[in-house]
Amino acid sequence: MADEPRDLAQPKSGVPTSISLSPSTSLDLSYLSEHERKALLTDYTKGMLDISHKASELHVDVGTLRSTLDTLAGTTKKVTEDGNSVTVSHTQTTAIGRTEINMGNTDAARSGKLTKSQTGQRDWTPIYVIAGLVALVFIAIAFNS
Amino acid sequence: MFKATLHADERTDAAAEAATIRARAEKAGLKAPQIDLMHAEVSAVLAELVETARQAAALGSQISATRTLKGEGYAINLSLRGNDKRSFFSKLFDSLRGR
Repeated sequence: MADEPRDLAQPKSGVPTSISLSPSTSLDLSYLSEHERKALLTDYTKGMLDISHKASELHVDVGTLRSTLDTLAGTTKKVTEDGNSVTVSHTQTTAIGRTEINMGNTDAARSGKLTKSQTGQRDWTPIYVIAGLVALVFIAIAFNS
Repeated sequence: MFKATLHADERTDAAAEAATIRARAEKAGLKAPQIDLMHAEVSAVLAELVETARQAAALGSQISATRTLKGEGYAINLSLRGNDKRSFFSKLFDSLRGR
C-alpha cells in the first residue's frame, strides 16, 4: 500500500498545528502539545463565534437604524411638502449605541437639540421648584410661630 | 373672522374633530360655502396628519406638526403631537403659553 501525501499542518491526531489569522498570516502551534493545541483552538473557535454573533447583531441594528432613518426622512419630507411645520424626533439605544434623531423644518429641529421629554428623560426642574416653594412656606411658618 | 385651534394626536378621530369645528363655525356665523370649504380642508389635512402621527408612534418616534388653514372668513390652527412624552408640567406650561 502506497503512503498518501499528508498536510504538514494536519498531524495524525487531527489537531491542526497552525491557525490562519488572515489570508497572509498564520500562527505556528507546532511547538505546543496536542492537548494545549486543542484547548487553544477551542478558545479561538469560541472567540470567532462570539465575534460572528456580535457582527450579526450589529448588522441587524444598523439595518434597523437605516430603515428608521429612511422612514423618518420620508415622513418629514412629505409633511414638510404638504406645508406643515414639523419636528420629528426619535431616540433609540441598541448594541451600536444611543442614537438621537431630530428632523424637520422648525427652529427646534434646526437646533439639533432634543428636549428631555424627547430623549425620554424625566425633567425634574418643576419638582425642584415646587419643593423649593414648599420649603420656603415651611420656613416662613417656622419664623412666624 | 372665525378663529380656532385644534389639538390632535395619534388617537384623534379626524372626522369627529372636523365635525366639531364645523359646528363651532356654524355657531360663530360663518357662511355656508366657507364652512363647507373649511370642513373639507380640515378633514383632509387632519386625517393625513393623524395618520402620520400613527406611523411615527408605531416607530416609537415623536412628531410635532403645526399648520394654519386660512380661507375667506376663517383661520384654523392645527396642532399635532404624536407619541407625546412630555411631563405633566411641560404640558401645563406649554398650554399656558398657548402651544
